[in-house]
Amino acid sequence: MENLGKLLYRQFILNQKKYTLYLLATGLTFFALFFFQAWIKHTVDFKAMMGWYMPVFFIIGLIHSAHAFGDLSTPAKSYQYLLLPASNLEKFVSVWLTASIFYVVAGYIIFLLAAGFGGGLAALLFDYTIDYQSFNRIGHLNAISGFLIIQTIFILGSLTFRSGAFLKTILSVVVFLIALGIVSAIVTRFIAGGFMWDFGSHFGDNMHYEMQELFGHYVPTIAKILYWGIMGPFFLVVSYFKLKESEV
Amino acid sequence: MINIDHLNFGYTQHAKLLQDFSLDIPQGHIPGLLGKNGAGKTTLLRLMCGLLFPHSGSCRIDENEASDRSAKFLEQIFMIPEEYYLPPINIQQYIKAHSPFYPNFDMEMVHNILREFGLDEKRKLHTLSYGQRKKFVVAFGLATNARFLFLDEPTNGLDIPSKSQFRKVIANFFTDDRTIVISTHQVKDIESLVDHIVVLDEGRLLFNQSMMDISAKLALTKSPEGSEKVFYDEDIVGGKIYLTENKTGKDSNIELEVLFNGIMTNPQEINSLFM
Repeated sequence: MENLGKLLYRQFILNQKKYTLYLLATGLTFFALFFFQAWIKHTVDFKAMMGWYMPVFFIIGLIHSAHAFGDLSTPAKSYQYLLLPASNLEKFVSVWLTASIFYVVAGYIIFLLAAGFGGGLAALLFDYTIDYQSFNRIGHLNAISGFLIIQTIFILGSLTFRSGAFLKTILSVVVFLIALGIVSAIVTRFIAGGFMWDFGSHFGDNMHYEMQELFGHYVPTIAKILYWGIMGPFFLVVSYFKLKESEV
Repeated sequence: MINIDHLNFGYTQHAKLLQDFSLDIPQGHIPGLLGKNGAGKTTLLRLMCGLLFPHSGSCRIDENEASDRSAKFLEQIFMIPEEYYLPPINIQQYIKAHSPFYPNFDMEMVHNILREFGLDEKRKLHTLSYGQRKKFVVAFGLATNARFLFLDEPTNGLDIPSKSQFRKVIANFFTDDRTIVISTHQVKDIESLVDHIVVLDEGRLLFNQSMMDISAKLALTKSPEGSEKVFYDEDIVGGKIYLTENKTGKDSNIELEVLFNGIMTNPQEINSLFM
């Protein structure tokens, strides 16, 4: 991993304008929002503001992830990136770190700074005492963990699609989910339909006990394990091999 | 040493571009990779750099399999493709961001070559003309001190003074521990540089000889008298020029363009001379 630092440094030099623009735009927007909130409500309500901030954080973060491997978007760019003297693993880790950990940390710092300065300025100008309500760290951690998992799909998208990776990834996910839903419904209907319940009654009313156990306990547990434990690493491993096998 | 062994490659499984292709390029040489458009020159360079993966066979540089693209392998090579993307930063920033990857990068050399090419290091890369960008990449590539340099159509887009500047820079910075593979169809531009000629045609190795052997065995003459074999002739102003066997016992001056046309027209007879 000796080249990791060099790759990160290169990425920051090459993208410094983009990063600065994002940090300034987000920071100033939320600074203004916090300022008006503190001015009008005499409080800095992190929870309410998080409701505004999270969609922005998710959308920008996923767009950023979908372009994480922008260095491979054209053959002319690919030459330079694939021939950079660093291993495929180092290249992959550097891009993932920038799109995930660094993005989350930078996003959080900007949010807190905006809250501090926005609320502080309002207090200074209007002589209010600002009540910085404690914010729900666990809720944020769940949202951020969710982001880190979902963004792995977009990182794979950035390695799969050469242009419009963000929209194409969303379209692929939607199509996959629709297909999965249809297949699941058909399989459930034909294999276990009659056995499970009488049609017309409320779902589960007449369901066989084992089936209730299956759908009420096992399926949600398996889905949680798949989502929280398997999905992220799976997409990251697939993305790594896709990078390793990239050609010009 | 570059060693290509029984390599097969095609952009689709059915249409093979290179079939059972083998070639050795020893260290310390400047081979010219010549061929018509679509002959497979760029593909071969990409395979040598690990940018494409062979379907079968191997392509190794100093025992490193190119398709592994290991960091140690990539430190030793630098490729200058025909089309090159440069990010919207200035020359200094580019050098600062990329030079740390090359352990033998020579900062003094890059400044000297850029000065020779007349490039201001504060210029933004995306504002440079095509020729200036090419000069910058050549300067950077030479300063990496990579032992294997691959140049794909390096003189395309360069004006006449720049072409001679390019030849001068390459000649000045070439050392015995380096190998520079130049692929081009503009053979005149690299005539004074190359010491080995490799000709490809439709993915086949048509010809592979050193310039020393070529000069000893082939000659160009305006009159074929006294020569047993004329391999190729070409109309020139005021007569013809003939590619014949060299019977003088002295090294001849060979025009690469005529040699190339001769090889494309009469490969078997020319190759038989070198058996």
